[in-house]
Amino acid sequence: MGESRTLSPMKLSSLIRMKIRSVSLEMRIRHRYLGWVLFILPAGAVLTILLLWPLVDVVWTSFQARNMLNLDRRGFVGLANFGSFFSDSLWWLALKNGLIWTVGSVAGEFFVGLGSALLLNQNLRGRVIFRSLVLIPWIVPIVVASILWRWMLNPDFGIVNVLLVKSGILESPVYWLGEVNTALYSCIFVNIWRSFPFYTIVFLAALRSIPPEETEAALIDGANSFQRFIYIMIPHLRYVSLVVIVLHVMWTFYHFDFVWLLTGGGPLNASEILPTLIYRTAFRYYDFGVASAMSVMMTVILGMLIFTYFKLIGGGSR
Amino acid sequence: MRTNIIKTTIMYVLVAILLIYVLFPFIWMVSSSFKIESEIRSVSPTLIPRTFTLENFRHVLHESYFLVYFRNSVVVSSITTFLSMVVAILAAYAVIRMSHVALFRSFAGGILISQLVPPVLLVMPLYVIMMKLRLLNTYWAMIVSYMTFGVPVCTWLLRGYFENIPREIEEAATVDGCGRLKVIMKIVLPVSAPGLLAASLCCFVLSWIEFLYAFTFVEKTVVRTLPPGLALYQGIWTINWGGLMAASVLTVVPVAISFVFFQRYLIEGLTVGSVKG
Repeated sequence: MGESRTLSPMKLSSLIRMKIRSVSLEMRIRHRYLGWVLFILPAGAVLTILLLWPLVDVVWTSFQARNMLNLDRRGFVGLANFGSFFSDSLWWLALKNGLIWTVGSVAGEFFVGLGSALLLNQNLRGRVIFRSLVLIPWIVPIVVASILWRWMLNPDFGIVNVLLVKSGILESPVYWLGEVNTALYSCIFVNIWRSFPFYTIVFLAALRSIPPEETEAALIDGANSFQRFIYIMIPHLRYVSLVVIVLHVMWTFYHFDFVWLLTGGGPLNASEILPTLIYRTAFRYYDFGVASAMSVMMTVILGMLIFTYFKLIGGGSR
Repeated sequence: MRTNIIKTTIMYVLVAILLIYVLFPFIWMVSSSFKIESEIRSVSPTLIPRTFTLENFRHVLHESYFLVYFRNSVVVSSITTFLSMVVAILAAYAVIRMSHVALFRSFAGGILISQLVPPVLLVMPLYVIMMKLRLLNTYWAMIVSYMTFGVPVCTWLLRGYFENIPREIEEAATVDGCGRLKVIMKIVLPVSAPGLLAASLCCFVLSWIEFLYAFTFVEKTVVRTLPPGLALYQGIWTINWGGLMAASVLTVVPVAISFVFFQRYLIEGLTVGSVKG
C-alpha cells in the first residue's frame, strides 16, 4: 500500500529522465521549426516592408490630403479625394479607355495566340524554330518596342504608312499614335503584337498534352478538323485559357509602360488609361492623396472585373 | 493527296505571315540602325541599306550616355538577381519542406497575392520610402524596389524546381550529418542548376527591362538605367532616329543572347504551369 504512494528513487529518476527527454524533444522540434522560419524571414521581410506596408499606407493616404510639394497641408479628409475624381470626367474617360484597352488587348492576344498555336501545332518542318521565333516580341524590352513602333507608325517616314499608301490601302499617311480616333487602338495593336506569344506557348503546351488516343478515336469515328477542334481541343484549352486570360486582364489593366511611352496618354487624353492618369496625378501634380484614392479605386474595379468574369463563365469549369 | 498539298501550302503561307508579323519590326530596326540619316527619313525606304554605315553605333557608343546607362543596368540587374535568388532559395526550400505547416502555406499564398498589387500603386509609397532613406538617385532605390517582383517570381519558379528533387537524396545527406544549409548547398542547388539558371535569367531580364521605378526614382544621368535612358533619348534627340535604332539594337542584345541560349528553359517554365489542368 505504501509503495504506490511513495516514489522510489529509481522510479523518481526514471520519471525525471522521461520528462527531460520529452522537454528536450519539444525543444528540438521547436528548434527545427525555428530554423525553417528563419528561412522564410528574409522573403517575409521583403513582402511585409515593401509590399504589405506600402499597400496599407496607400489605403491610409487615400483618406488624407497629401501634397508632396506642400507637405504642411495634411489631414484627414474622409472621402473627399474619392469625390474629387468621381466628378472629374477625365477619370471616367480614363476608365472607359482602360476597359477598351484591356478587353481589346486581351481579346486580340487570345485569338492571335490561339490561331498561331493551332498553326504551330501542325506537323510542319522547322516548327521548333518557329516556336522560339514567335516568342521574340514578348521578351523584348517594352521601351524598345515602343520606340520601334512609334517610328514605324510615324506619318512622315514610318514604314507602315509607306507600305499602306504604296499598296493603295490608304490615300495618305495616318498619324496613328497622334490622332484622337486612332491613338488608343494603335496602342492596343502594339500591345497585341507584343503579348500574344505568351498565349501561343501556353496553348501549344496544352494542345500537346492532349492524349493521342482521343485524337485517334475521333479520327476513326470520322471527325474532320473542325469537329476535332470543337470537341477535343477546346475542352483541353479551357483551364489554361482561364488562367492566362485572368492574368492578362490584370496585367493589362494595370499596365503603365506601353501607353505612357507610346502616346503619354494623349493626344488630348484620347489614350489616357487609369495607370497613366494616376501617375500624372502623383508625379506631375504631386497630389499623392488623390492619386492614392485613384489607385485604390482602380484595384477595386479590377477586383470587380475579375469577379464578373468568373460569374460570366460560370464556376463549373473546374 | 492533292488536298494535302494544298493544305500544307496554306499552312506554310500562314506561318510565313505569322513570322513576318512577328519579326518584321526587328528586322526593320536592325536594318535601320545601319542606314544613314537621309535614308532613314526617305519616303521610299528599302529593307537592305543602300549605304551601309556604322555611324549610328559609333555615335551611340562614343557620343552619348549609352554606355553609362548600360553599366548601370548591368549593376542593378545583377545585384537584384543575386539578392532575390539568395532570399528566394531559402524561402522556396522552406516552403517545400514545411508545406504541412499552415504558416508556410499562407506564406506561399502571400507570395502569390503580392503580385496582384499594381506597380503604379506601389510606386507612391516606395517613392516616399526612398525619399526618407535618401536613396533617390541611387542604385539601391531600384534594387530594393525590384525585389518586390524579384523575390516573389524567383521563389515561385524555384518552388516548382525544388519540388522535383527526390527526398531520398536529401534524407541521405541529412543522415550523413548535413545541416539544412549544407543540404541546400551540396545537394539541392547542384541538382536544380537548370532551374536556378532559369529563375536567375527571368529575374535579370525583368530587372533589365523595368521602366516605371527606374524612371521615377532616378533623375541623375549617371545613375540612370537603359529603359528610361532610351525613353528620354527620344525626347531630346527626336531627330536622330538612326542613333535611336542603334541604341535599341544594343539594348536588346543581352536579352537576345540570353534568349537564344535559354529559350528552352523559358518555354519549359511557361509550359510547366499550363499542363497541370
